[in-house]
Amino acid sequence: MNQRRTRMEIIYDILIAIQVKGGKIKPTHLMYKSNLSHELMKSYIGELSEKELIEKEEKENGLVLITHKGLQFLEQYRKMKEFTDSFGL
Amino acid sequence: MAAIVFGPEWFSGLTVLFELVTVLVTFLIAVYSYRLYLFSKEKKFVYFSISFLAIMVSFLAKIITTIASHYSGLDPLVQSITNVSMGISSGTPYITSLGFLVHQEFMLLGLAGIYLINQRNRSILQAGLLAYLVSVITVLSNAFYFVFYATAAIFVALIAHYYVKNYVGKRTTSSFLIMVSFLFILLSHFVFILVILNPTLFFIIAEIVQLLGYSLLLYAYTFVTIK
Repeated sequence: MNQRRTRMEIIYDILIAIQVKGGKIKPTHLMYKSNLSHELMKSYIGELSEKELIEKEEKENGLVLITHKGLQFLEQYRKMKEFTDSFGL
Repeated sequence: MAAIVFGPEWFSGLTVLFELVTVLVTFLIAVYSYRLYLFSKEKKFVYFSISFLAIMVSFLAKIITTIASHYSGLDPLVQSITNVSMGISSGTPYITSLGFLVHQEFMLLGLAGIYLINQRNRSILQAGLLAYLVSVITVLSNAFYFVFYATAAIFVALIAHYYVKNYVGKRTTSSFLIMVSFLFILLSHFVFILVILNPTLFFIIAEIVQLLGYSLLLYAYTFVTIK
């Protein structure tokens, strides 16, 4: 049975989906890639934009871009995952 | 007692050097884990950090005691602290008793903490019970030194068992290194139990094995964090 994702895992899934697509992605693609409902997606995009981890183009259905801070988050998350896996935390 | 707890006097300089490595490793892991807490706000990281800090304090107490025991001028100060805190066996120099007491208490608390963090169904009650038992064992160990090493060995055995299972599940180099380092630390605790048979020989072997364990843990730490 799949475990429910934590908030951190969802944020990681969103950012990694953008990174894999070369740093920018259409919102609809992001929704499928990160496996979120439309409502949750909107809420996360708002939150991540506020925290400057992503940027959204102004126009309707504009692309979602990952920022430098977002890339730093991914790096830090990978290190955290490596640590938790190594120590079984 | 002093020879059993702190080894032969001629070896004390090396003991201090060996244990400085341990202090460094535990400090680095504690700081890194705290940084991960700041990043993720997950409490397990702060508990992990506190546990390693406790082990660091434990070794610091042992180092300070080893160094200070060479300077009798420190005894009156330590004696007054000891008198306030609790009655300690009269046959042992105060500085040795107090140093060993702090070493034991923090070592067992740290190991109990790491053990608890690895348990999926941990609770405040379990933590409280463990802290109480650790304190009782610490007091008992002042009279029977091997109680401390045996208890520490049991905790390290439980932790090492968890890391063996973790390695079997993950099969990564870092989990392998951490498993092996804790197996060395476990072996060192078993050898410490034998110190009563031959204080010089077994103490030196135990210290070297312990150094190997913590050096491997330092290597594992750098392997995990500097990638």
